[in-house]
Amino acid sequence: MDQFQKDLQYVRAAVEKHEATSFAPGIPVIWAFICVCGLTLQDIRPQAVSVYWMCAVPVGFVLSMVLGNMHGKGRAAVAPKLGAIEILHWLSIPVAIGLMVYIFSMRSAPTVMGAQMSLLIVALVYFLGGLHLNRVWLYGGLAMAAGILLIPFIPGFPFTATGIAFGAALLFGAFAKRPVPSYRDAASV
Amino acid sequence: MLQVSDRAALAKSIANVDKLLLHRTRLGICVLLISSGGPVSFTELTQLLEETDGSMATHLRKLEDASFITVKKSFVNRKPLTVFAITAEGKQAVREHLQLMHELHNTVK
Repeated sequence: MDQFQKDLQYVRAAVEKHEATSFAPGIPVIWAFICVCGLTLQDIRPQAVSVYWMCAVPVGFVLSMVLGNMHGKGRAAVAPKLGAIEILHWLSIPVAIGLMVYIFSMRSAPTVMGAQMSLLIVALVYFLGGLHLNRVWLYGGLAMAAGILLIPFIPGFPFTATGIAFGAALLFGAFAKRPVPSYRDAASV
Repeated sequence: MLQVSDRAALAKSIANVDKLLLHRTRLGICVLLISSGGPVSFTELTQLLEETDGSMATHLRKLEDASFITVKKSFVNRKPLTVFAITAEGKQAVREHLQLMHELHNTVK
């Protein structure tokens, strides 16, 4: 059994080495630069922040995709499905923030804003759950995000709208044609 | 001291151990392919597991013969590229092997 423990340590070391090289090192550098510039701009020239993020985020995404693809090809480890998961995962951040900006731009009353913000958070969590856990939740997340857009048109009952959107999303997920295994099933032991 | 029933269970467990995965390199290959979620090249496997090319090729052939992994050969910039991926059978075998080794470990303890 001592030999087995040593063998496990050997395997663990190999896996850790692999994981340490599984992302393109340029990607965190790009986003560190973008975020430092963006947040600094918030302090020194806040009126330019919106334009900055609208330009920097797409550029950052394109560069990340290019670097990620090059890194994968260099390691002969291009996995389109996993690449798609990564892209959708990180795209959820600008989409969620975009929806949040939309919410604030509507100048909604606090209670409505609270409902929308709650729905946004739940939508994000369900969406990410759909990516990483079970695809059934993905549609729920998307449905709830759509609900955020509808809430301002039901001004008198924001929490009711939240509840309806949430319930509809759960029912949609429950009655989806078939539960699709999450992508992670393919990579877990 | 192990009881008679424990010795019998131990003997049965030992008999069921997958000999293919008893070798740490082959176990390492399978675990790496599972954890990566995608194909891994021959060169990378060799570097990660610190094996020679010849030894790695032998281990990979045995795993391929047992249908635990698949191989795909291509050319990139006119250089041959060989990548490997785990099969469902391979994943199941690793799962069972690790479970069995865990049970053996508990029995011996």
